[in-house]
Amino acid sequence: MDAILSSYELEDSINSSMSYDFNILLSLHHDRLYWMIRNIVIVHDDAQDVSQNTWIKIHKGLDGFKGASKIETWMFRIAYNECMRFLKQKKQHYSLDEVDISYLTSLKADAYFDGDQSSKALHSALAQLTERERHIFSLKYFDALKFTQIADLVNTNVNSVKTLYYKAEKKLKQQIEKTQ
Amino acid sequence: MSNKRANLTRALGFKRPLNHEEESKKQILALVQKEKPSFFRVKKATVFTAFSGIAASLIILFFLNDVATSTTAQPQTVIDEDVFVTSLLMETLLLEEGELDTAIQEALLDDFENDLVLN
Repeated sequence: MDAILSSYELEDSINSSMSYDFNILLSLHHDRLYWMIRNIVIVHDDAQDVSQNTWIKIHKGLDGFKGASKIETWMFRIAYNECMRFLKQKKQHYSLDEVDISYLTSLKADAYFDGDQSSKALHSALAQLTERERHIFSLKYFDALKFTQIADLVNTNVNSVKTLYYKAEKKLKQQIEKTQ
Repeated sequence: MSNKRANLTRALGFKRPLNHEEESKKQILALVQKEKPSFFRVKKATVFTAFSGIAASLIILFFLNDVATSTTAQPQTVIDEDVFVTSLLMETLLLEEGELDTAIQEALLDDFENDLVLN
């Protein structure tokens, strides 16, 4: 109910002056951003740090937001950039075009991962994707973003995003079939 | 979170601490509040920069003014010379050649003496 009321409030504030209330944005989008970040950085503590940095940046940039894109896309872009910054700082030689060899190790070290056999199989398959493929797959499949939004986030064109997504999906199916 | 997304997240086996959402929101709001003083620090720095800029501009203006004064002093001497020559010409216009030489010499001597007195 709170979320519904907040949506109306947000819509009102958008229509009246194109200004956004930080508290409303936080209450509406906190979880969605957290899970998007978590799916990329994997470990809860890391996701929490990245999430906080993201919200601080959103707060700082909110006055300057001119509405050139949807507020949601703008927030996702900040979150994705923060994820990239974090991963490049944490991992030496981090590359989007390579498989992250520390993916499964990070997952096992996370106190807040409690996967069953099927989720472990899914993660093993995800670990075989390049980082770019994994990010695009995650943003589409788990976060339900549109291809155009993903293209905006990862700074590439929509067709490349679609190609990478279907390629990732095919790889995952093959990997999961192998393990079964 | 929608049911579909909740199921998908469960499929990944990701968990988080109890009341994470509320606690995290509180932490973020606290952090944002902490960030505010730094905004004022930035504002102070901006004011300082503005004043420095104004001071620098005034110094440059003063310097330029000084240069302008020294550059305009030269045409003044030219004008003096012109006045001297013009008045000399006017005074000696109707004189004969011999008287003209004497008048010019006297005038030059007077001018030389005037310059001595001034310096």
